[in-house]
Amino acid sequence: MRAALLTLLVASAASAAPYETSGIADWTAIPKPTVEHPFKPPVAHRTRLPNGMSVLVVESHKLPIVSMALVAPGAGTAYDPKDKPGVAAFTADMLDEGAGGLSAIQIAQEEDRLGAAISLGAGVDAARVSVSTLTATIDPTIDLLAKILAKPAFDPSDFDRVAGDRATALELRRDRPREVASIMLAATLFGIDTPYGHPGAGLRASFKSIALPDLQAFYAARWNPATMTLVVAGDVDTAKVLAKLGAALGTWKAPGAKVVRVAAAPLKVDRRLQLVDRPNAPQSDVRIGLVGLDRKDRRYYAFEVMANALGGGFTSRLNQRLREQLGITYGIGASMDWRAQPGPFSISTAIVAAETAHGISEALKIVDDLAATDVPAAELDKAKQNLIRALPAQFETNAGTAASFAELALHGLPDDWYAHYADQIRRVAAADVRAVAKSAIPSGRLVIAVVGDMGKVRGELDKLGLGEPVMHDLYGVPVP
Amino acid sequence: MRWVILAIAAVAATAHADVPKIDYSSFELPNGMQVFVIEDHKAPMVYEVMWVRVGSKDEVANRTGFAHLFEHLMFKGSAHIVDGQMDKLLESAGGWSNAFTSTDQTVYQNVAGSNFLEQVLWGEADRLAGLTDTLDQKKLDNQRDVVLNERRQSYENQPYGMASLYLDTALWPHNHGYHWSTIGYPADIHAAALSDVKAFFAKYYVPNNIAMVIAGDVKPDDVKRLVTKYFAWIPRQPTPARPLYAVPPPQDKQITIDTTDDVQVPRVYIAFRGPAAFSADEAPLDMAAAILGDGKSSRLYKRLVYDEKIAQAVSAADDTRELGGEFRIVVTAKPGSDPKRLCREINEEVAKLAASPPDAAEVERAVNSHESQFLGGLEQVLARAIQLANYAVLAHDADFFGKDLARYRAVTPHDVTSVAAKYLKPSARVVLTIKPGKKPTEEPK
Repeated sequence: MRAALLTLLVASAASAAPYETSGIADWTAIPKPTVEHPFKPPVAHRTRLPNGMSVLVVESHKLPIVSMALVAPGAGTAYDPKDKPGVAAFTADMLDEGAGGLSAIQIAQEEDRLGAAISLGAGVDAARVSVSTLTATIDPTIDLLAKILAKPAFDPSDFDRVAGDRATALELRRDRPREVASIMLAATLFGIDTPYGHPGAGLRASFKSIALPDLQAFYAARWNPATMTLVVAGDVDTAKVLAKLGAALGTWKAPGAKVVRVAAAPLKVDRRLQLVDRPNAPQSDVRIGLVGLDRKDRRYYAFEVMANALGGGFTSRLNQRLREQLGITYGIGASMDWRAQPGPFSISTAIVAAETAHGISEALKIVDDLAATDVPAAELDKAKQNLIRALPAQFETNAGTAASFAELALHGLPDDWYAHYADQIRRVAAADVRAVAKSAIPSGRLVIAVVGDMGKVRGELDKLGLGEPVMHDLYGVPVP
Repeated sequence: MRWVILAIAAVAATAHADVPKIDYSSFELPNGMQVFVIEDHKAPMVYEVMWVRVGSKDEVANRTGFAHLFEHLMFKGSAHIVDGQMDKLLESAGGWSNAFTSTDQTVYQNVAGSNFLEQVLWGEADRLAGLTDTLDQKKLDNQRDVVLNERRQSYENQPYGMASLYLDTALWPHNHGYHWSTIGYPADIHAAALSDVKAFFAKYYVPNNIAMVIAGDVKPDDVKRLVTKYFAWIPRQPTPARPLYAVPPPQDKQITIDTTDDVQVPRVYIAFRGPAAFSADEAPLDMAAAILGDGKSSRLYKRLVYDEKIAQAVSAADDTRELGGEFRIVVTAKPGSDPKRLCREINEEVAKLAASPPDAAEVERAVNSHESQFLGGLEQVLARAIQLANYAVLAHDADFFGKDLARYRAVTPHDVTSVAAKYLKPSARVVLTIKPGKKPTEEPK
């Protein structure tokens, strides 16, 4: 029937282009693909330095450049002292603010001179360091990295300066409604004083209580080379770079390191609205989420296929409905933040103020549909192919390659995990997708966080029947 | 001791890498479409870039934002492809599509598994030949709404989000195509009609106004055969008669704009008109931007953030385009800092650079850092494909990769000072200060 309709359409529409001269008889016939070329993810060479640091090397000689990724498990924001959120991120920030006899400015100058960029930050489960540099300067770059990692100065005047910058950044948070919406969601799901529930950069109320000894203690206890993994990817000779790493980093030890487990248990929350009033906002920033699965859950692959169909790409159900049909957003997506313990799953979007409640109810309906009905075969295949064939892009850059292997190491997954990824995804059936939607994202557990102009959106939101909302201030912290 | 270590490192390592060669082949169809092929079999993917020489500078009165709105309509189906079908095909083929619009060009990208090369070209050809055959008011209205949401998300609801609109309107006179922003004014976006879409399509979306790059896991012979099959029949059209703009007279007096936004601290923007892309002054002025405000080793960071602690963040960038550029310094104040003091000190640092050459070491750092970023930018096949089109269209030389690196390596301290003195004059400044207060209700015009 569609073909007949199309023929009519083509015959009746006056085309600007003389298709009849193209020499192609049937433009509606979709050209068939040729034989698929297989993709093999790169293989890493694994070894260990004398201090216990795991090192993986992936050689790639296309361009004269190198990237490195280091994960420090246990040095992420989940390990912040309970009453001092922000210590992990502040500590990572301080390492290159003076180290090994160089000032912060001298470190930055040396990086530029070497054509290197070294950046440090705290994720949730781990701290991360990423490095990019030129093959020609790999050795002095490693020397500089070793100073930053093993010999941070923690100078009081640098501490005061960086503390000032970080305190200001916390004050400026209220200008960024998207960030506020995410903070509010996490705080609601886990509790604002818990490992997964507090914002990584900390909170205004408690930031001033962080002192230099807190950072020094965190560094001594958490930045432990024996538990770290460093991945080198790019134009290097494996033997040479290992020798250099051994000389520069192999003797670094952390005698005060402690192994600590954190409990990131979810709170029992019902489906209440969490709101921030932001007068005059033309759009509402919306997060709809719940505590999902952990990275090693057996439903990982089914969940990824489900999340792809729901909100993974341009043709996902959420984006097709809210953007392409309703035109009430520029885009909407859904994804799981995969962590060591179950982390937040969230649907994220910004909806034009007047349609906020409408958009939320549409999104909830779409989530319910996934648990109620099997995805059609073509849609299932699209989601699976989209995931499988996105793999090469992940390994296209040295930085992407390094980060991919580092992430496996962080979660204790085998180095050849990606080699089996496509097969695992192919095995996911429509029934698995429906089952994981039902068990992992029941819409009755979804928390809805909105930052917007309550004068414009509150009336319609109240009609959604989600009970009395919880109000938060402009920073995403509950109003007492 | 510190200096000894650095000196040894300097001897042991020269930062300059060999210039990588980017292999490509090229041909031109009889209808004037230029085609470039980059063969790279690292991953089984194909990347198609269609670079159309039309941007917001080519828009007509009361239709600002139109080139970008039009870009959105290119994804709503065509003569033989229904709305949404191409996106589903591409995603099922492991790919995606996207596009961006700037003042000078609109650039479409299709990505898919390399065995779907023919499908990608079929889809691209059908919308280039027959986009408007199936375009209707409903599709236009839908994407108009999407674009208005994009404007809210990227400009109106961003802290300091309207700054670039203020700067564009101040830096370029009313009769110049860079005076309005690519996103356009809401009233003009509302006014766009189907007849505008058809006329714009007929004029600019013609093969002789296009450069195409096919990159990735492909064989040049296959590409030539298939591109010829799907595109060669599309008729050549008259060269688009686009609006032409005279070089505006130099600005002779500082322009000062004071406004407010729903923000916590003031932010200062100091902007100047700069040189065009690929002109001789571009490389040294890029290095001047790096020395002034790129990263922690820059002069403005050291003075305003590190030493005096009166700023939260600094940046400087030299954004070059076809007809001229914008050099922009942005400084965010610390709470309580006087934005007037920030302006004064920024101006002092600019004047210093315009008066006396930087150290050789300072230039070396800027050049090495640029080189490393440049090489990193070539890692992704798609980025390489877009860069090749950029060279072919704007530098008129697809073989520009090596020359691009070389022109930065050749920058001397004297070059930096000389372009700083030429472009960053006090009388040529636009000084925009955004202070905490209400969101502005009027559009900068």
